[in-house]
Order: sequence, then structure tokens, then C-alpha cells
Amino acid sequence: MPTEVSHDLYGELDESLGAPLAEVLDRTCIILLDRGGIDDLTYLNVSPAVYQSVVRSRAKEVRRGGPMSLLGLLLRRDESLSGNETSAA
Amino acid sequence: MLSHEENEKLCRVGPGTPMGELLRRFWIPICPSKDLAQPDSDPVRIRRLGEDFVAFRDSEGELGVLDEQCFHRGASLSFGRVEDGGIRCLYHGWKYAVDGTIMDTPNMRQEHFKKKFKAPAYPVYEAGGVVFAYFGHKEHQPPPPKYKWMEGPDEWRYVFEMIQENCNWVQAVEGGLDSSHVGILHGDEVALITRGEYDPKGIGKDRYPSVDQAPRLEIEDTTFGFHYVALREALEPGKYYARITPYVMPFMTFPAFASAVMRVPRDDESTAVISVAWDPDDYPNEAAIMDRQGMDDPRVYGPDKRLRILPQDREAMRRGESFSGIRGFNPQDGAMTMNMGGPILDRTKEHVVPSDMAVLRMRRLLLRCADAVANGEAPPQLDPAVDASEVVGTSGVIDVDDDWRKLVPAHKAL
Repeated sequence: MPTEVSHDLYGELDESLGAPLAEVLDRTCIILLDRGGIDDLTYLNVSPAVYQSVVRSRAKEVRRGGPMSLLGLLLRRDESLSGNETSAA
Repeated sequence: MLSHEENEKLCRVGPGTPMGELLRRFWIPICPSKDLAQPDSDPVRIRRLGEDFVAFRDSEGELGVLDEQCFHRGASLSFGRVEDGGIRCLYHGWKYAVDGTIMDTPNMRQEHFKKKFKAPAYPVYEAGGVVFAYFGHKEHQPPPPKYKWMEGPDEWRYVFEMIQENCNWVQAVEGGLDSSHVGILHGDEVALITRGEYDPKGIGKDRYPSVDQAPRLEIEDTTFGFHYVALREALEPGKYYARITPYVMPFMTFPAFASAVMRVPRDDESTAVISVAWDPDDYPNEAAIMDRQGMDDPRVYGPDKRLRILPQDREAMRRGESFSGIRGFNPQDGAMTMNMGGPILDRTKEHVVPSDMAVLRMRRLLLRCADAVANGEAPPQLDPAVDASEVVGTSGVIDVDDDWRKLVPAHKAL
């Protein structure tokens, strides 16, 4: 089950993980546009590596407990995804 | 968004940085030709990629670009005298030819010294009213650039340079690849365009026949970089208003019709914007262009080329006469990109959405190419087979089932 980001999870992140966000965003953006946009979507599930990169970059926002988003969708960590994978839901 | 590491790699351009090494593979626009209009005209101080140079045109009309600092004791050659086939440093009179040959060393008589050494000089190319220089390794020097706007006599063009301080080059280029801001930030101008009251033979030629603020976007990689289209529901039912913007690696965008904009890093914190208006059918009018841009006001744009943003006209905003309270495309864009929380936008904090697609593609492309160069490869856009000479930005009203690519048949997709 995908997990939404919370500030509690920040301390549990695996520092060895990481993903190239420029690649991830470009690819995911095209997928979202090809399916007609994000109007009917809420979540973007991401692999642990992508999750790690986003949360590490947004440390301040995470500490404030703000909702994490990517490309206009709420972010969820999904252990079933690997590498730089993302999946909208 | 980007990670901090990606953002640093993307934005920093000094010698030895990954992006700096990539950009040094390309010919770099350094100034409009009119800045060096005549033989022996005044030298011009140039800052590009975090380094300082001096450009001059010798008595024969040949262009030269040298390190700004004199080979002898480091005084600025921008104070130099351009005379009798070279540029002479004011400090001790050392004189250099356009190729860096040391012509004279008044305080040192040994002739062999002049034959043995040369001041660093860079290849120069001039076309379309723009002077380019090549700052990379000699073995990687590509053929000179060739673009549509370079065709024809000077009367077909108007070229001007504007400096945006407190503005890294990437955020400046991103502004040129951001369709969704056009109808908002530039809403005043778009309203005039729609009524046929803004540059009706130039940028307002198509009268922007749409009120759709949420265009459908499509993007395609090309040999020269990429192009993308914003497809808006046209005023005419059953039609799309297609507006196509090409990105020619690494600096150039084509806003629409016969114009091109090169946003070139002076250093990590300031950007030189060289714009070309080109139209063989209706010659660009300098006064009209600067008036439309709000840049005929010396408080906004003067001889130092710095763009300055005047206080907004809040009264006009309140009266509903202006959305931004700022006059002109360039000042409006500058107000945004020169005020992004510091000279380099912190992209870890931004929240991009799918309509930022072209911005995301540009970042990915630049970072991939920087990595390729770091791994000993050449940027694919510099393959000799790549021809960007027919690349244009354009628009048109098409049937909803039509392929927008028919508007740009010369663009070669990958």
C-alpha cells in the first residue's frame, strides 16, 4: 500500500537511495499529458528512490508537515515500484 | 523541481563546470554587430560564461576577441586604443592583432619575444547582425551557426542586447519555453494583439485567435533540440490555434514568426538577452519595437543595456486597465525572472505542473548533454548533419484532426 509522505518518515529515509529528478519529472509529465492531464487523478505513487530524492530536496517543507506533491499530484511512496518508476492513481 | 545537485549542475557555467563545458562546445553570441560597427571602432567589454573578454574590429574590419586582461600585466584592454591593425593597451602600450599576435611591446625590445608568444584569442564569426565567439577547445570547434534570421541584408533585421542582472540564464531561457504564462503575464499585450492593435505585421500577425488559457501541449525531440506546440481551442469552432515554439540548443527560442531570442549566460548571476526581429516583407522598425517593449524609456533601458523594472502602475491595475502594471513583454518577463529569490532559482522549492512540460524537457536535455560531454561524447545537436537553418517559431489555425507538424515541415524529429 503506498504511503503518503509525512515528517515522521523523514528520519527513516535510506540515504543510499536517490533518483535523477530531471529525468523522472520529464518522463512522468509526458505520461500525464498523454493520458489527458491530471483532472481525474489525486496521487502520484513513486518508487522509494524517487521518494527519497523528493523528500531530501524538500526537507524544509517536510519538516513543516506540508503535503508533498509532484506535478500537481500528492506524493506517495510505493514499495512495489522500483528504480525511477512512478505511477499515477 | 530538481535536486540541489541537479540545479547546481544545470545553472553554473564557469570553466570546468559540467554545464560550462557543454556550453563551450557551442558558438556563443557575444554582441550585436552594431556595437562594433566600423573599423577601429571602440572596443567592447564582453562577459560570457563567467569570463571577461574584449572584442574589437581592426582597421581592416576584421573582428577579434581576446581575454580582457592584457597579456603583459593584466590591465583591461577595454580601455585600449584600436588603431593601425590592432588594439593597444593603455598601460604599457602592448599591442595585439585580432589573432592575438603581439605586434608591439614598447617596454621590451627583444623581437623574439613577440614571435614566441601570442595573447589568447578566440575564433569569431559574424552573421545576421550578431557576433559569435567560440571559447571551447580547438579540436571540438563546430561549423559556424546558420539560422534563417541570418539571411538577407541588415535592413531585414533589428538586433538588440539587453542585460538581466540577478538572473541566471536558465530561468531566462525557461521563460521563453513557458506558453502558459503568455495569456496571463502578457495579458495586456495579448488583448491588443487580439484586437489587431499590437504589431499587426509582426508578433501580432495572427491576432491570437483564442481565449483558451489551458492549452493542450505536445512536445517532440528534434535534431536541434525540441519543439512543442500549444493547442488552444480556436475562436472558430472545430479548429485549434496551434502555436509552435522551437528550442535550439542551448540558448535559442523562437517566440513566434520572424524573431529569435538568445539568452546567454554572462556568468552564473546575469544573462545577456540578444533578440533578433527579422522580416523580409516588413522591415523591423527599431523605434516601434522599443516603444512596444516599454524600452524607449531610459529609466528602463539605457546605454548600459541593463533592464530595469519601474514601479508597477498599481492605479492602472486597480482601474482594470492593466493586469501587470508593467509595460512591455521584456520588462514583464524581467520582473518575473530577475526576482526569483536570488540570482539562481532554487528549484528544490518550486512546484511544477504538467503545463511546465517544455521547461522540464529543456532541463533534462541540458543535463543529459552536460553528462555526455563529461563522458567524452559530443552534444548530438552539433552533429554536422544537423541543419537548424530553417527552424522557425510559428502559429496557425488548423483542423482539430490536423497534425500541427505540417506548420513546421523543416523541423526534423528524432
